[in-house]
Amino acid sequence: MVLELHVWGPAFSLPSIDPQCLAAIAYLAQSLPRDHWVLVAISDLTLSPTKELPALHDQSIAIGGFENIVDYLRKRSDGQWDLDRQLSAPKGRADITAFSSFLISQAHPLLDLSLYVASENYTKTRTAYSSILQWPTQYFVPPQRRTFAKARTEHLGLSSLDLDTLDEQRGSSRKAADLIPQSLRTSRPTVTGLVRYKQSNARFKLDALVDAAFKPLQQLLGEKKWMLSDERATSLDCLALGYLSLALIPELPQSWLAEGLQGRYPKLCKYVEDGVKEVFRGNVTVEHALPNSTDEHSTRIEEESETALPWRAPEQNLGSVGASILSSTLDLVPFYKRSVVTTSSIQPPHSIDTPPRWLTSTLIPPLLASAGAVAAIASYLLYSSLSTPEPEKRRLSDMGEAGAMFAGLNFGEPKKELGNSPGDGGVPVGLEVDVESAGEKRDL
Amino acid sequence: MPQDADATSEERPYPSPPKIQVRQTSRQWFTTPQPIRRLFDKFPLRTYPVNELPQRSPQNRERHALWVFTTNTGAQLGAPSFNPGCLKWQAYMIFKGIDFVTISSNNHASPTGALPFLLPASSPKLLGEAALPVPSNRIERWIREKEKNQHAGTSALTKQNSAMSESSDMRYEAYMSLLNYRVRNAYLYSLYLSPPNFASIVLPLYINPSTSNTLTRLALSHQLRSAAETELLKQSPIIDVEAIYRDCDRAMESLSELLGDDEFFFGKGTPELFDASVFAYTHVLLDEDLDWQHTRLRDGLEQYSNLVEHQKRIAEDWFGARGVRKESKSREGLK
Repeated sequence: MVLELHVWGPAFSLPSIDPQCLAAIAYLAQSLPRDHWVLVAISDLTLSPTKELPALHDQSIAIGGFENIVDYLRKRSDGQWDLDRQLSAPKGRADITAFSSFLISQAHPLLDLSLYVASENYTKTRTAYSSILQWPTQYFVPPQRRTFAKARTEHLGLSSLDLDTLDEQRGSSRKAADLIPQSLRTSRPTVTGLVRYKQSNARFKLDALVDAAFKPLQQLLGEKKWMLSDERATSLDCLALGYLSLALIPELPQSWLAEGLQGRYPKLCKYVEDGVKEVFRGNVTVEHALPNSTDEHSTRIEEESETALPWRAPEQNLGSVGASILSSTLDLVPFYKRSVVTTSSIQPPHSIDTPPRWLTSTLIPPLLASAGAVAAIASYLLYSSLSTPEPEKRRLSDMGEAGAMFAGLNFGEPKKELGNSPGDGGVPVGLEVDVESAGEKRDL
Repeated sequence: MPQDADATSEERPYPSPPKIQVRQTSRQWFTTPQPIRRLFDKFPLRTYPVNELPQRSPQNRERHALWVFTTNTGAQLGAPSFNPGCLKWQAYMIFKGIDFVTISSNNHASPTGALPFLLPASSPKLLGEAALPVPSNRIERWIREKEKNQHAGTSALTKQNSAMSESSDMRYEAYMSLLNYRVRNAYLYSLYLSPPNFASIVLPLYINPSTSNTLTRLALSHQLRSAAETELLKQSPIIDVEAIYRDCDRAMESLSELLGDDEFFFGKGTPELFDASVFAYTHVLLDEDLDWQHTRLRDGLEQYSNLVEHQKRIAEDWFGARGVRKESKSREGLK
């Protein structure tokens, strides 16, 4: 009868590191009686039907994703656990839908940029993850989430926050610079100088994004306690708390997001601070979610847990560790499609929209890919015999996800010398084939 | 200048590759002998007149041209495009009373890689400075600048209008996100990833006109599908079909609620960009010329009669004969 809410663990004194998990915690904390649910900080996604957290487990049923959870709770309790039930006016419900979609679409990229894409901040995020994740998932999860975040924010053109791409740009500009005579060269910018310059450029864009996301929200909030009324929080408030608290509260090296909020949206800041105190009941540390074996600690937490969130320690078993290793490894294998089209487990499978299996099992992608690989090899051979191959320094981050994973460990970067200088015989030795399966950037 | 560059490159602190020196000396050694030089001076022996432009190149650049996804007959009639992204701007330009022609095209023709784009009219006098194409995200600004130029005196009036619309601004952005994310996601899924619709709509309208080569068609359809898939996977780790349709249905419910009994969104007397955006999706979903095999989205939309009315109103009043003629023709076909 007790519902289990699986979330990413606490970080930055908030109960979770993920905005949707925070929203789900806020929703359950306000809609369910305290003895009806427990909160579990887990570190593998294999149990979630949508491969994302939060996931709600009701005995044998599992539901993934905030909106699916809200929907399930409404149906399961005949509206009793529905935070939005007070809103009889359809206009209010329409506003909730619209602003929820708006919040997710606008604030999610901002959090992606702030927590994952910006290199300096990502170091901090990764550290936070490593304290809440079990071995060995802390090596898989943060780089994976960073890759997703980069993909989501690619269209904003703010990759300059990411030092890795900056380094690549420097590499390519260096090649061009070799052709310029020394007397005409400008002094090569230092890394820190370049970062400053790029970041101050990006700052204008970021400020515009922050304004686009939070101005309508502050207007909606007005002088009220919650977004839509003074009395009760709605599901929109839960989402807003989740996203805004992660934007405002973490202390990060590049704090443009928090600064933007504090500087221009004082009402929203106050709303977040009050909400965090009332809903999440104060600061949450990792020990709340993952108690150590020391008795003293756990008893202390037991005492204060009368009012705190109903944490329960996650079960540790080897099976789940193995499964998570397997699934993470499979995700890294090229041509293996992890994106199987499925439906959420709530509804009975009445849908005639069966997953189009032929779509993923079609022979075209491997064929195209191998043709592309052949073309790449051929063009590389042609190119390398025409041009003078330069010795190239390879970095760990060039090695894809595995490289990013090991970049966290500090055992020095292996250096590989690829290619000879043409004077030594002119035969290129190094061969690099890079088949990119980058998605078509096309407006549909 | 290039000699200077070579000279300084030799003065580099580190030894430059010997190859450069060899090349430089050989250049001085090898000069063209005088008789051969004289022979080549006689060329060209004959100069032919300049080729004419291809037949299909735009002859008439006196009207603005909007390049959209449409059929050839549709382009002549100025019928609504079957692509929501194109139809949005087509409708908006019609609302704003801009005289333009539509030209049938595809993504490969666009300078940005995506349709629509606008090629502003250029008068033959200014042939040297032909107008640059305007991509879809700049069309609104282009129209605004055009209006500003036309009636510079009435700026006070527009300022008043903008102050009035300030209060509905926050809802404008929020409800716009419903269209750009929820409805669009469901549309993408339903059109590209649902096999029946892909076969009945995408193949005949998007892929077959662009090429007759079977292999290229296969590659194009794969590209389109995987682009749609990547787009959806950006927002969640897996494609949750039920959630996509449910979100779209809620979005339509909210839009219907927002419209209420008004004629146009936000109580305006004339349609604006928001109406164009809604119409772009509702028209494509309700257009009877499009053969939707899997009609879940259309069925969902038909529950909200005011949205259907809104679509009809715009199709009849603004696309006039073009929209109505098409509809009546297809109805006769059904009978």
